[in-house]
Parts: sequence; C-alpha cells; structure tokens
Amino acid sequence: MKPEPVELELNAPVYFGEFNNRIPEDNPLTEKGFQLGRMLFYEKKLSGDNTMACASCHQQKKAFTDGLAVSKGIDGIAGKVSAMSLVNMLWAEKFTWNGRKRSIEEQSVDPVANPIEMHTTFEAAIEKLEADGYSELFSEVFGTPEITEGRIGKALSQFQRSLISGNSKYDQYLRNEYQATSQEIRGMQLFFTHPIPGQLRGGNCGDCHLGPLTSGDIDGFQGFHNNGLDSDEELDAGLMEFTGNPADKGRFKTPSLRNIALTAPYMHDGRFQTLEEVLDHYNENIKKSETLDILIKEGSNEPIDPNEPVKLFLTDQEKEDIIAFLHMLTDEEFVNNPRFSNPHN
Amino acid sequence: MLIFLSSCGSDDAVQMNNSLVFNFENMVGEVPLVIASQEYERDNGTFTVEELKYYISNVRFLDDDGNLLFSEEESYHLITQNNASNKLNFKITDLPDLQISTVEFSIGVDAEANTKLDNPGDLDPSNNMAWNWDTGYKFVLLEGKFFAAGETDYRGLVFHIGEDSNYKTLQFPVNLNLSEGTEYEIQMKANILGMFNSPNTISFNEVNVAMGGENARKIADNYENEMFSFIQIVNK
Ligand code: HEC
Ligand code: HEC
Repeated sequence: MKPEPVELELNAPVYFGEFNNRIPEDNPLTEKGFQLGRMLFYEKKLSGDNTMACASCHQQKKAFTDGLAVSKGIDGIAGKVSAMSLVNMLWAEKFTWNGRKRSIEEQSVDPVANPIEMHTTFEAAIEKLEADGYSELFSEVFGTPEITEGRIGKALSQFQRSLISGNSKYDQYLRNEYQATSQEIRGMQLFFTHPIPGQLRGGNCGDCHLGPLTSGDIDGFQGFHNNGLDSDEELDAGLMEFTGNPADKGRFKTPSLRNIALTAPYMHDGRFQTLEEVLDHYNENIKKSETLDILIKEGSNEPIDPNEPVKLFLTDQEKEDIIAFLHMLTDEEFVNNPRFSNPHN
Repeated sequence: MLIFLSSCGSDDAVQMNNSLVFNFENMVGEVPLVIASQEYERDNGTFTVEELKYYISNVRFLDDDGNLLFSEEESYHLITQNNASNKLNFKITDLPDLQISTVEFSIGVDAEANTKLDNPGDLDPSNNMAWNWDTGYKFVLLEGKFFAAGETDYRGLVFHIGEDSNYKTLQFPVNLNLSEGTEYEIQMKANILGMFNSPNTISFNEVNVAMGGENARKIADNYENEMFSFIQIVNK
C-alpha cells in the first residue's frame, strides 16, 4: 500500500483573501509535490547545457528576480523583458508581463524549451531526469513513475504557489506587532490615497497596486495598465500582443510591490535602477499616449489642464515617504526561508 | 443560512424550498449600459463607461406592517459589469413561505464589515473593492472616459464612492407571495445617470473624479434617490 499523500497547508494573511479555492483541482498541493517542485526549480539539467535552472533568473535572495534589466538565456541571448518576482502568485490569474499565460502551470514549462532561456527539449530534459533517479520521486507524487512535461509543470507550480510573502514590516504593522515610524505611516497613506486637488494629498499608487497584496486586479485583464512609460510612438505592445486589441497597447501586468527594494531594476524592461527613479517617473515624467490609464491621467495633487503634461505634484518629502513605505514591504523571512532554498546544496 | 424572526406556532416542518433571484439591469437613462464601445451624450460631450461595480447588501423582507420577516446573513453581493465580467444577479435560496410587502437592501457595506478586511464571499479583499485597512470598501465604482466639447483629449471619469456615511438603505414596495417552492426573479434597474442628476446635479465638465469628500457625498445622495428602481417580478 502506498501512503496517502500528505496535504500541504499554506499560511497566508487573512487580508490577502481566500486561496484554497484558487488551487486547481487537478493539481492539489502536497508536501511531496512541493519538494519535487523545489528540486526541479533548482535543477540545471532542465537546460540545454546544464548551466541554468529556473533559479538562475529567479533567485530567492532577490525575491526571485535576477537583478538584470532583461534576462539572458544559456546562449547569452538577451530577452526583451525583465525576470518577474515570483510571489503571492495564488492571487493572480494572468501571468507574464503581457498576460499571455493563463496559469502557473502553463508558464512554468515555457522557459525549458524557449531558445533564449533554457533552450532544450522536454525529451532531452526528461532523459536526464530519468538518469538522475527522478522517476521514483514522480511516482511518489503522481502515482506512476512517468516523467512528462505536464507533470514537471505541475510540480514546479506547487512549489511556486507556496511562495507566499506575508511577514514584512507592513504585515507586522497590520497585525499590531510593529510600530510604524511617522514617515512610514505618511508613506502608507500617500500610497493608498487618490489625490483630490485642494482636498486630499495622495500618491495614487494603491489605485492599481491594490490593497495589502499591492498587485493588480485579478479579474480578467482589469489589472493590466499603461502606466505612462512611453509616448504612442515608442510604446511597447504589451497586452495588445496577446489580444490584438489596440485599446490594450502598452498595458502591462501590474506587479506586486512586495520585496520591491530587492528587485531592481524596475519595470518590464528594467529601465529604472532605483525606487527614486520610479517615483520621479510617476511624479513628473509620465508620457501621454492614447491608452494612458485614466487613474494616472486623473491623479494629481494640483488641478491640471488636459492639454498640459500629467504630473502628480508630490513634494520631495512625500516621495521619500512613499519610498519608506515601499521598504516596509521587504520580507526577510521570505527571502531567507530555508524551505524555498536550493535543495541540491 | 437564515434567521427566522416570524414565530412559528405549529410543529409542522417549515417548507424552505422557495428562492428569489435579484437581477440588476444597468442602464444609461433609457438604454442598456454597454461597456467601452458605446458613447453616451452628456454635458455637451460624450462619455463611455469602462467599469461599473456596486455592493448590494443586507437584503431584508418586511411584511404589511413593516415587521421584519427575513434577513439574509452575510448578505454582501457585488454586482460587476466590465470587459472581464458580467455579474448582474444573485440568488437567495431555501426561503420559507412568506408574504412580502417590502424588499429592502443597502448600497455599500455596513460600518461593521467595512473596516474588517477578513470578510468572506463577495467582500473578499482580493476583488478590488477594498481600499485598505483604514478606509474600508468602495461601495460604488464607476470608471470611464469623458470627451468634452471642444477638447481634443478625453478626461478620465473616476468615481470611487465609499465611507460609512455614504452607505444607503433603500426600500421597494412589492406584493410577493412565496409558497410551495416558488422561484421568482426580482428585476431591478440601475440607471447610472441617477448618480449624477438629483438632488445634486453633477456636470462632468466640473467633476470627473470623486473619491470621498463633498462630491462623493453628493453622488451618494443621488444614488440613494433615483439610481435604483423596481421593474417587475417574474415567475421563473
Ligand atoms: C533566462 C531567465 C529565466 C529563466 C531561466 C526562467 N525565467 Fe521565469 N521569467 C523570466 C522572465 C524574463 C519573465 C517575464 C516573462 C514575460 O513577461 O514574457 C519570467 C516570468 C515567469 C513567471 C510569471 C510570473 C508572473 O507573475 O506573471 C513565472 C511563473 C516563471 N517565470 C517561472 C519560471 C520557472 C518555473 C522557470 C524554470 C522552468 C523559469 N521561470 C525560468 C526569466 C526566466
Ligand atoms: C495606472 C496604474 C498604476 C498606478 C497608479 C501606479 N502603478 Fe506602479 N505599476 C503599474 C504597472 C502596470 C506596472 C508595470 C509597468 C511596466 O513594466 O510596463 C507598474 C510598475 C511599478 C513598479 C516596478 C515593479 C517591478 O517589479 O519592476 C514600481 C516600483 C511601481 N510600479 C510603484 C508604483 C508607485 C510607488 C506608484 C504610486 C506613486 C505606482 N506604482 C502607481 C501600474 C500602476
């Protein structure tokens, strides 16, 4: 008799919202599945020349990013976009910067065969895994020893669904375990407030980086926005690449800002080196375009003439306050948790 | 889950096999709301709606004398119309036999639930209606674009209305007899122009953003007044 699989219970702050109903029925979480996924995530044999694993571009110490503006694969060819932080992905239903992947499972098998990432074939990778004795582990997780692309994706997804960051200073503040400084509190309020000229000062961030998760709306592509990086001429396709709809041009997935102090450089193409540059962007460097989000267009601390450039009109002090809040989102436990580290070491 | 407030003298098992669907038809004046692709005239310009969401909460039924017959527990229903979703109805099942004279519900989230972010169901904080811990939920959200006369560039319409004082309770007289397994649908109209017309006239030329403050209060007084109306009850 095989032992019953041990279910893996996840812990997440209640204010993230329901999550058990977000785990797909055909890929329930188990401890063994998580451990297999973790081994695969750090497995260089999944790449053509055995030099690269998922973890090469998604490094725990950097909240599962790689510190580069755009990622490079095994052949040294650079892609067009920056590696995304893998965090709190249970509360997302669209993946990649332009939203073309509908599940973590779907995205997780993509890099293996992608010529500018791990550049191999599943046939070759599976042969190497079999030679390495992985079949037994697959058997323990899935009931039979076959190693398939689908199963690799499922195990990788179990590991990644477990990557929950919910113990930052901000979380401790919400749980009354940490006394925030007055600057942090000012930053928090600015972050979550939509400004009304003459009445209410705000930084407008929480309009898109929603609630304690600080990530985009889960519903369909509602969480995809054009945040004013480029003018119409320069604007990348973004979501339009996937939907073909011109109204989606320049709309990108609103990323979680959890651990944002650890994930520079910033934006889908890594154009900003520091959080100061990010704040300067939102405050005074917004580029107008046809699809510029209305929440940015109509977010200012001063009345603006529709024919003038869009500006937030934050003071230098207010920008620093928001950055102080962003630093509160760093979760040391998450980036040091031994359960998420390399099991092959 | 139900609470019974009507006392029941006999030992007979209470029949609880009636159900009621609430259906909301979102309108712009006399025409149905179409997301994004339809332009509507107003204030010498035109506007489009990208998204409309609102909470219908604390549904209660009263009898002829205004006594409470039934009140739904955990009664929070988010009505959503946008490019991703069309969620315009909700259903209350397992209702006992009732003779209902008044249907009551509120727009928004009551003060008790408003500042908790660990609420169930449609109050789930991940559905983009929660602002943050301190400020609670958006009750009514409308976003769109306004093309003002004589301007080349459009302005955004951003109305996010919340705050305890903007929680409004509405009552509608009906004549509804629930008995022996009936299923009825209550059809309601939600006219978004009702948010901007009376008693406070809001011109998009002057106000195209409201999130709290004086303009939010004016809009809340308007949605209390004439945004919602009863169309009819149909037997399903
Ligand atoms: C060469 C660097 C590189 C490697 C190796 C790599 N990734 Fe990524 N990852 C990226 C980049 C770049 C993106 C953004 C892709 C896009 O938007 O097109 C990304 C995005 C993702 C996302 C989407 C996250 C979100 O929030 O939408 C997931 C999930 C992911 N990677 C998992 C994996 C897994 C699992 C592996 C190993 C099989 C892996 N990655 C290997 C660079 C890499
Ligand atoms: C209209 C919606 C919107 C608003 C308002 C907004 N953001 Fe963003 N934010 C986005 C989107 C979308 C992206 C990704 C854009 C891209 O890379 O093309 C992003 C990216 C970022 C990033 C980079 C994240 C990364 O992983 O590279 C940071 C940091 C950030 N925003 C902070 C803020 C701050 C601080 C504010 C308030 C001053 C703010 N945002 C306001 C939508 C928004």
